[in-house]
Amino acid sequence: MGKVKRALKNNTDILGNYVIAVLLVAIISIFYRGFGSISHISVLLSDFAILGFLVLGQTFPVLTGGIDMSVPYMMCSAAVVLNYGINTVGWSVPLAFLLVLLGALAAGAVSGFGIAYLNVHPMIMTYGMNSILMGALLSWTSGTAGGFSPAGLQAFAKLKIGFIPVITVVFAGATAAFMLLLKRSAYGKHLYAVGNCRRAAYFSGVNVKRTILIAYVISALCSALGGLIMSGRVGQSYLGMGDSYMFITLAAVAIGGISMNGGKGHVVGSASGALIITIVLSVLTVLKASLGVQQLLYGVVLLGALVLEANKLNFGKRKGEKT
Amino acid sequence: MDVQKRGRRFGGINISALIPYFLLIVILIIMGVYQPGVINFNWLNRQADSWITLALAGIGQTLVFMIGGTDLSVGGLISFTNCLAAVYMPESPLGIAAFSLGIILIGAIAGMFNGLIIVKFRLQPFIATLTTWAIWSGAALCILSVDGGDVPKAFTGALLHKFGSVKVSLILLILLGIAGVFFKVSRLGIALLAVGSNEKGAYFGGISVARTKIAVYMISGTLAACAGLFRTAQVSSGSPTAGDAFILLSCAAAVIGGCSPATGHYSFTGAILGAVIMRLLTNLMVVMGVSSYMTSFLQGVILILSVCISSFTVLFHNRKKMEVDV
Repeated sequence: MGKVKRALKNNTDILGNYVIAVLLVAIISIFYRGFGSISHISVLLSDFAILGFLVLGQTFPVLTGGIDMSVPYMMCSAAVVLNYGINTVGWSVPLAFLLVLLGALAAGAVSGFGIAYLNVHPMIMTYGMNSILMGALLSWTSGTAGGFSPAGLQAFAKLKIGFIPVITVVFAGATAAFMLLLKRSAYGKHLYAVGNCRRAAYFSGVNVKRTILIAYVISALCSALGGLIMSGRVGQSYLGMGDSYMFITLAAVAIGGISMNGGKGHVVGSASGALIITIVLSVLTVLKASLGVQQLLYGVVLLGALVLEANKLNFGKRKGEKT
Repeated sequence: MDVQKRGRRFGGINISALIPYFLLIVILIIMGVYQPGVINFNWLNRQADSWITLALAGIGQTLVFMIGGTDLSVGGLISFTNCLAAVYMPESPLGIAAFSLGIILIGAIAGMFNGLIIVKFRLQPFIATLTTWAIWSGAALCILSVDGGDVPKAFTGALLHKFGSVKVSLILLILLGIAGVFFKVSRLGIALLAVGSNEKGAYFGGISVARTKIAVYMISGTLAACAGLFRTAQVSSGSPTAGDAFILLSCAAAVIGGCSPATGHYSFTGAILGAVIMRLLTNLMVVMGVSSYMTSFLQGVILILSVCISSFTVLFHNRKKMEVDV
C-alpha cells in the first residue's frame, strides 16, 4: 500500500493532468451540449488512441535526450504504403502489414544507427529521415495517395465495446506494456541511465549506442502503427496526413512531464499529455480555430511547458550544462 | 609547437574547408557536360537570386552551429516575413523602406527572443527554436492561409535591380563573403569561437557567454528576415509554408560549407558556397531528368551524409584529445 501512495505522491503532476482532462470535458460540455455526450466521448477516445500511439513512440527518443522529427512522414508513409501496396501493387493484406512494419523498423534503425553510432545530431538525422521518407514515398507512388484502407483495418479501427473503441483498449494495453518495459526491464533502466548521463551510463557498462538505437526503432514502429490506425479510422490514406503531428507529439510529451533533456518521465505521463492535447484539439475544432491559430498554440504550449520544467530545476545544476 | 601546428593544418583538418570548392567544381563540370555553354555571366546573374535567400539563412545557421546550437526558427521566420511583406507592404517608396526595416527588426527581435529563452531557461537550442518555429509559422498561417498576396512593383524592382549588368543579389553575395572576413576578426567573431569551443573557458576568459549567444541568434534571425524579404521579391507573392524547406537546406548549406564547432573552422564564403551547391544540385536533378519527387529524398541523404562526414572529423579530433567516444 505504501508503494502505491509513494507512486501517487511522485506523480502528482500526471494525476493532475488526468483530473484536468476530465474537468475540461465537464466544463466544456456545459457550454456545448454535445461535447460530453457518450458518442462524442467515444470519438475523443479513438482520437486519443491514435495520438497516443505517436506520443508513446516519441517518448522513447525524448527519454534519451533526443527527438524524433520523422513522425509526420513515418506515419504517412506507413498508411500510404499499406494502401498503395494492396490496391495498386497487389500485395496480400498480411504481406502488406508485414512489409510496412519491416519498413518502419528499417527506417527507425537507420536513424537510430546514424544518431548512436555516427554521432549525427538527432534533430538533423530524423528531420533528414523525414525528408528521405517523403521523397521515397512520392517517387514510389508517383504522387498518388494510396486509396482506401483494407476493410479489415477499417472494421478494427471502428470496432467498439460498449462505447469504448477497441483501439483505445489496445492503446491502454500498449501503455501498460511500455510502462513495464520502462520500469521493470533492464532496457528501461538503461534508457533512464543514458538519458540522465550518457557518460556515467557508459562507464557503468551500459551499451549506450544500442540503447539509443532501440529507442528510435520503438519510436518508428509506434509512429507507423499510429499511421495505420489513423488510415483505418479515416477509411483512406492521404499525403500530408501527419504534417501537424510533429509539434503535437512534442507538446504532448512536454505536458506529460517528460524532460526534454532526457531521463525523466514515463509513458503514463506522456499518455496524459496526449489526452489533454486531444481534448484541446477537439475544442479548437468546435471553436473553428484556423490551422494557424492551432499551430501557434502548440508552440506557446510547448514553450510554456518547457519553461515551467526549466524553472523547476533551476535550483540544482543542470546536467550537460557547461557554465 | 609552431611546426606541429603548421603540420596539422596542412595535414588534414583544414581539408573540410576545401570540400565546398571541390564539390562546386565537380557540379559545374557535370552541368557543363550536360548543357554545354549554359554557364555564363547571364546564368550567374539569374541564379544569384535563388542563391541569396539560402545563403542568408545558411550563414545564420553556420554562426548558430558554431556556438553549438541550431536554429529551426528560420523556417517559421521566413514564412512569417514573407506573408507579412506580401500582405501588408505599402505602395509608396518611403513606406516600402520603412516596412522592410520593420521586418528586419522583427527578425532581430525574434532572434533575440530565441537567444533569451535559450540562455535564461537553459533550454536545448533545438527544442527552444522548434517552439518558436511553430509560433512563427502559426502566425504566418494566420496572416495567409493559402498562397497569395500582392507585392508592390517598386519593392520587387528594388531587390531585383541591376547595376549595369550585375544584379543586386550577386553584389550582396560578394559583399557577404567580404563581410565574413571582417566578422571573423571582430570582437563578436572571436567571442563566438571561444564560446563554441569551450563555454566554461570563454566564461573564465572574461567573455559574456550569454550576450554572445543572444547576439548570434539575433544575427541569425535578422538574416532569416532578410531572406524572407528576398523571397517575397523573387516570387512576388506570399506562402505560409515558404520557409519550411529552408530549415533542412540551411542546415545542409552550413554543414557542406565546412563549419565545425569542434575544430573551429567556418567561413561565410563556405556557407555561401554550401547554399550554392544545394541550389545547383536541385538544378542538376532537373537537368538530368530525375523526378522532382526525388528532390526531398536526395536533400535528406545529402544532409545526413555531409553531417556524417563532418562528425567523423570530430571523432578524429576527439581521439587526439583522448576523449571517450560515448
